[in-house]
Amino acid sequence: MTETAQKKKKKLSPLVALGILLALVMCVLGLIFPRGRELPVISMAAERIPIPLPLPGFQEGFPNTLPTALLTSLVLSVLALVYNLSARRAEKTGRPNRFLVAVDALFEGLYSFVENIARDKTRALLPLVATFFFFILTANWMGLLPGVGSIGLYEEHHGERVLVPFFRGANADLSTTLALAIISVIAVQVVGLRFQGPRYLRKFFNFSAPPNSGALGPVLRIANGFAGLLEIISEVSKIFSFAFRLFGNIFAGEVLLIVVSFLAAFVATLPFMGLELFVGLVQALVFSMLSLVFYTMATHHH
Amino acid sequence: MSKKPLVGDLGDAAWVLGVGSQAGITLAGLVLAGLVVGYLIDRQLGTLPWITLVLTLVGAIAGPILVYRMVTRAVHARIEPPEEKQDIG
Repeated sequence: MTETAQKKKKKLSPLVALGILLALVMCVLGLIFPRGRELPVISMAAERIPIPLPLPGFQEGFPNTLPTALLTSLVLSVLALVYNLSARRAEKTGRPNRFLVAVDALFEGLYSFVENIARDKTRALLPLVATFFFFILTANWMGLLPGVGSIGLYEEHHGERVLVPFFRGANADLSTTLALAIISVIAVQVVGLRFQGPRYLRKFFNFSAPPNSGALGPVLRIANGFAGLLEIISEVSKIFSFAFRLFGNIFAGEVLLIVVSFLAAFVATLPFMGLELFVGLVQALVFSMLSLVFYTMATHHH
Repeated sequence: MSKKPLVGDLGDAAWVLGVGSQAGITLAGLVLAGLVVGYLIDRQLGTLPWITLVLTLVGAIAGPILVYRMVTRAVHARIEPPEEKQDIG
């Protein structure tokens, strides 16, 4: 070992030392605390928080993904407001603060990410794609905050005492992801109509045959009609694939975290938390990238 | 070393992951959709295995066709810049 390496090894940064200390404390706590006696009930649908007011549409209670989704929107709105204020201040003083620079760097990365695929359509497609990305990313990561899925009310369900958490990761409910998927697929049609005009609809309803097809004409017409039917099936299948991929990944992550923290508290959960951070980012990236691919495909005429 | 390759790599990875997972879900989903819809129709009409079998087969045949169309278009949209506007630089 060289001298410099030995020097580096000797010098322990206070942050690392604190981390090791915390991990040790958590190990001891994990041994002292008894593990859960029974696995908590895992519900695939969002649990309903009972509310005293008879609101129309919420007779059975409030789905617990709704507060998280609203909170996600609130967090993003506040960040946007802070960015706006920082930008105004930077215009006056000529010195941008750290938050402004960080957001600008993030957005530049996202811009070149979209530009790589959409090229000259970047300005038209970026707002929607970026909204999907930021909303899904924030919602996924907010699902990992302490308190989400663990603080709630105990309720009787079919004779069992069940914990109804106040917050549940917004994308761990099929309703949220289905809504996002429907918005995305409708946007594909809107983008197609905007860039191709009525010609876009010929993709779905095309019963024409090339003029020189002769006796094969009727067969080609039927084949084109069938291709249009396939296109319609393909658009519908996009909604389900978008919705189920996001829901499946995030819900599976939540179940994994619940099961691991039931088996061994504190320390064993940490690597999975890191994994979930990564999965949340990848799923946000995949959803927005796939939306972008479909928008770009809709702008092309085939 | 510039920053651009990193963004490009990440974008490429997300593109491959997105299109790949879409292809997988389409293949499996259409067979499943054929099965479920066929079973529901069969149960209504009391013709149990037949419509289920036919629709499952239709799903299994339509899946690869749709995946082929989607992937070729996605690759075309990726490779060919639209309206002869080449990306220079």
